[in-house]
Amino acid sequence: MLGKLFKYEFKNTAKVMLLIYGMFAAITLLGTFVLSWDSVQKEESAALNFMLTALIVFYILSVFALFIVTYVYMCLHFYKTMYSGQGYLTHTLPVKSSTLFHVKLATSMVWMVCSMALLILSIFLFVLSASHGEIFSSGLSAELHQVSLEFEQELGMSLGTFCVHAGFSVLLSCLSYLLWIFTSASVGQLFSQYKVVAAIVTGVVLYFVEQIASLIIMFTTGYTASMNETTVSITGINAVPAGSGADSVFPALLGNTYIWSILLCLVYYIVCRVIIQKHLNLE
Amino acid sequence: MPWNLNSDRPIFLQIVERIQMDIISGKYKPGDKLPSVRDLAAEAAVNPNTMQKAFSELERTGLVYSQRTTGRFITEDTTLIYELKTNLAKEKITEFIALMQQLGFSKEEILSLISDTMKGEAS
Amino acid sequence: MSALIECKDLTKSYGKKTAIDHISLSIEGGHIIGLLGPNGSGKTTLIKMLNGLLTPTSGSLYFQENPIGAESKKHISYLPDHNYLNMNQRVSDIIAFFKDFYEDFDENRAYDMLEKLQINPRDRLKSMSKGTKEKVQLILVMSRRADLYVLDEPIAGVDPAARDYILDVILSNYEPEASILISTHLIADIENILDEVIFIQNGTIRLTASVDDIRANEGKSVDALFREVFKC
Repeated sequence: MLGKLFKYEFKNTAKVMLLIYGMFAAITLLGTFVLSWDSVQKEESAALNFMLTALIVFYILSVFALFIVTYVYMCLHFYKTMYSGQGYLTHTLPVKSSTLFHVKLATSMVWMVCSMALLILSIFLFVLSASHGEIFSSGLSAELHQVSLEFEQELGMSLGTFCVHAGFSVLLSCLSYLLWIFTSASVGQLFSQYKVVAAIVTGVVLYFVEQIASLIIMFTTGYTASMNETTVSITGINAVPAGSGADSVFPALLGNTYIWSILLCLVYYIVCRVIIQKHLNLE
Repeated sequence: MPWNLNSDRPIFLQIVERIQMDIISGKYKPGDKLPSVRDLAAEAAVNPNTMQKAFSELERTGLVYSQRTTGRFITEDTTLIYELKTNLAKEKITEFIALMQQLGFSKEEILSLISDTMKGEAS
Repeated sequence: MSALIECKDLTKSYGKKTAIDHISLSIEGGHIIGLLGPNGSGKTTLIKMLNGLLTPTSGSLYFQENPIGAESKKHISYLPDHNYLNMNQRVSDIIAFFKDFYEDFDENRAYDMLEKLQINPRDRLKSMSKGTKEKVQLILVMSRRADLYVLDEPIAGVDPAARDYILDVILSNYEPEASILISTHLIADIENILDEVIFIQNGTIRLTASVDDIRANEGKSVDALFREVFKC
C-alpha cells in the first residue's frame, strides 16, 4: 500500500514539477552558453554586457521562482488532495490516515530536495562556464584552504562541518516550512465556513509566534552581544583574540536553533496527525 | 423498461399477479423456464428480494416449481392453470357484477346488457 | 446473518449543534436500504461517519464487528454526491488506480459498462458532460465487489433515462450478500428497488421498516408516507 501511495503521489506531481525543472534547466543552459560565448569574445560590447546583466537578473529570478513554485505547488497539492473535493477519494482509500500524511510529507520533501540539488548543479555549471574550467587549477585549493581557516576562526568550525550543518539546517527549515502550511491548512479545515480564510489566519499567527520565539532564542544565546565583537574583529583590529565571542556563540546558537526547529516540526507534526486522524471535516 | 407497478400495494403481490396473467395468457407456456430472480428483477426495476418473495409465493401455490441447479419452471399441470384462469375470471366477474349493481342494474338487466354487447361485437 | 453495520448511541455534534443524536441501528447484508429524510436531517453526516470521513463525538459504530478504519474501507464502496475524482485524468487511469488500491475491484465489469455506454476510456473526465461524469463515477463504485455500497443522492440532477440506467446498474451489480445504502429525497423514483427504509430527521431515526410492510399496513407508498411523516 505504501509503495502504491508513493507511486501515485509522485506520478500526480511529476508533471508540473518536471515542467518547472525543464524550464529551469533551459534557463541554466542558456546562461552557460552565453557565459562561455562571452569568455571567447575579446572585446567588450554593450550588447553583450546587456545580455549578461539581463541573464543574471533572469537567472536569480528563476532561482527564486524554482523554490517558490515548488513550495507553493506542494502546499496546494496537499490542500487539494487532503481537504478539498478530492479529499473524499483520498480518505476512503483503505489506508491509515497517518500513512497518507507521511507519504504526502515525504514526497513534498523529496521534491524540495530535488529543487535544491538542481540549484546546486546549476550554480556549479554557471561557475564552470564563467571560469572556463579554471576552477580545477591548483590555485583554487590554496584559496579554499585560506577560506577554511578563516571560517574556523570566526565560527569555531571547519568549512566542511559548516557545510554539513548548513545542509542539515536547510533540510530542517524545508520541513518546518512545509509543516507550517500543512498545519495551517489542517486547522483551517476544522471550521465549517471560510476554511481557506481560517487557514491563512492560522498561518499568519503561527508565523508571528515562530518569529518571536526565534528572537527570544537569539537573545538568550547572547547573539546580539557577540555581534559587536565579531564586527570589531572583522574590521582588522587583530588585538581581539581570535574566536573570543564567536566560537563560544555560534555552535551554541546553532544548537539552540536546531532544538527549536526540531521541536517546532514535532509540534506541527503532532497537530497535523491529530487533526487528520480525529477531526477531519470535509465539506 | 421498468414494469408499471402501483405505488400503494405491496410490489411482490403485483408481480405475482403479472406473472399469473402471463401464464394464463400463454406468454409463459407450461414447462417454460422463468428468467432468474436477478434478471427479472433488473428488467422490472424492483428489488431482487421482492422478486424472490413473488417467486416463493408462486411456488407455494404450485404454479411454479424449482429445480435446484437448473432454475424455475412453469408447472405442466394444465388443470392447475385452468383453475387459476377460472378463479381469476370469477373474481373479475364478481367485481363487475358488484359495480353494475352499484350503478343500479338488476341481475336480469346485467345479463341482457352482456349478451347485447357481445352480439354487437360479433356483427 | 450478522449485522453489517451496528451503531449504538451514535452522536455527532459540532459545538452546540447536534447533527446525529444518539442513533442506534443495525443494517444487515442482502438488502437495498433507503436512507430517507429532508435536507439537514443528518443523512450525509451519518454517511460520512460510515466512511471514516468524520469521527463520532460519542457512541459506537462498527462495520463487520470492526471499528471504522483502513479495514472497513476495503469493503465499503462509496459514491459521494459530488465530483471527487481528479478531472484531468483519463478514465483508464482512474480504473488502474482503483484496481491498484481495491482488491475487490473488477476491471472487466467496469470496461463492459463503459463500452455499453459508448464511453471511450481514453477520454479525460473534464471533457465529459455532467451526466456522463456521474455515470462514470457510478460505474467505478459499482465495479467493486464490496460488502456495502453507499450511494449519496445517485439520481439527483439526472434526466429520467439516465435515472433508469442508474437503477439498472445498481440492480444488475447486486450481490445477494451485500447491502446497498441509498440516501435520497427522490423517493418515488427509487421506491421499487428498495426493500427497507430508514426515515431520519434532525439526527434521529423516525422509522425503520420494510417497504412491503409499509404498503401492506399503511396502504400507501413510501413516498406518500414520507410526505405524511415529514409534513412541513
